[in-house]
Amino acid sequence: MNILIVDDKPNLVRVTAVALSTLGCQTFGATTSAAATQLLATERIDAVFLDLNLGGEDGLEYLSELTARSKIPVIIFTAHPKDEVVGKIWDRGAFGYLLKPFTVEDLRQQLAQIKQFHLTGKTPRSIP
Amino acid sequence: MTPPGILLVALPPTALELARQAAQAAFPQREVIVLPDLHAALQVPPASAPQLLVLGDPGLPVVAEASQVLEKTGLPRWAIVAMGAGESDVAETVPMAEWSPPLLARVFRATLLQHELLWENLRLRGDMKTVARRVSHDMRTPIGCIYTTADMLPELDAASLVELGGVIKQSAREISQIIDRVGFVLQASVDSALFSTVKMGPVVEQVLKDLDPAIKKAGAVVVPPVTWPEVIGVVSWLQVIWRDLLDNALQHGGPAPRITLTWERTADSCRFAVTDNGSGVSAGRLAALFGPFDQLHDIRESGIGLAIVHRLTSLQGGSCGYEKTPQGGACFHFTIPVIATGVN
Repeated sequence: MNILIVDDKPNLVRVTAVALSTLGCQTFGATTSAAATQLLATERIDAVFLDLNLGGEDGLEYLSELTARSKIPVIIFTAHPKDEVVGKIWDRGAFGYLLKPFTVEDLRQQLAQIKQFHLTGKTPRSIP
Repeated sequence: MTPPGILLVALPPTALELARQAAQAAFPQREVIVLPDLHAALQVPPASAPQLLVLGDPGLPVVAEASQVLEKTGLPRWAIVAMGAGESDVAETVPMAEWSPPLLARVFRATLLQHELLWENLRLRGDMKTVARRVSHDMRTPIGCIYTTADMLPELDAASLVELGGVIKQSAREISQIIDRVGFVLQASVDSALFSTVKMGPVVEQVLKDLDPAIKKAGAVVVPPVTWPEVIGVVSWLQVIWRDLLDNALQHGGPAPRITLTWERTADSCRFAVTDNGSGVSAGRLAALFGPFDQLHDIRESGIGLAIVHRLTSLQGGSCGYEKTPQGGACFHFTIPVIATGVN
């Protein structure tokens, strides 16, 4: 799978990229929404891992933009408490979320759900 | 900057004279300012410490209006005393039959002290919220880098180990910096600091020396003034202010920034400025600049560095701000008193 990682912290992009590559993914990294949009236009991306804080940009707005534009699953990773973000990201069409700090196993579970979505069209919330 | 004045607003002659005597007795170092109406009181700049406002009869609409004037923190801008018959939910009242300078002085002192304690309490609660929500949030990303890397250590090849070893080192440094900076500002906020006359030249010189590697890495040129003034402040706080503003200019001043340091003397303080030739702060981020540290939990767009600058200048009786230069660059400035303020 080709995964686009969008986070304004380059270190987190690097670590997540290495972790996803150990799970067999090819990764692309972006630290701004503009760079991410550019990569989405030029690469075949199967899922986006998006941070809610993109420096001066609002990750929630970019999430809305992404989900309005395509059906590519967007997984939010966030350092905010779960109850602060979950409602907001579901409303904007997020596919799933990962709370920081996360493990390789957390990533593996997200990838399994993304694979299932691409095979069946089912999102985690539509799976009973 | 002088300590906040005592504002006597729209008082009838007898009350005014007694209030003036009482205010001078209660607060000998503070200026007593006589004003015709609330509008005039609103023109007096907000101070870095609470102000006392003395009004007439508690039943007058102006008393209720004054209590509705709020600071950004949500706390009333003034501690209010109403001199006249009747009771009030929003002001301390002194019945006319009991008017005397000693009694009024006691009421003034007690009212202002109560307001100062509320102010302090609110700030401390805000600081705690900032640590609980904002600081813990900001630390999760570097902690996450270390945590996730540790989790995949057994699966990493030699090249990845080297790469992520660097990430771990940077992340640990980032966490350490957050802890140091937040610890410093919290400590400064609760300690009684020893203010002294400070020569600004050596303060800036030391900061530039510490930042030399970062200046060289950014290819920046820093142009200080030929001479520096003396101010009343705390050396370590001033060093943090300069370091944060210079760091900011190095990070956001564009490629190979030219950073100019200037100062000018105003009536009772010095105004210092750090100007760069970058592209300035975007309009969308202006409102969040210098968000107070105790409100950072609600201002996600504002950085901790400028909030620390805001707190440390305020603790020294000064202020800080931003303006765009005519050439489009950023100019971050702050003032520090050159005469003792009694603030903090």
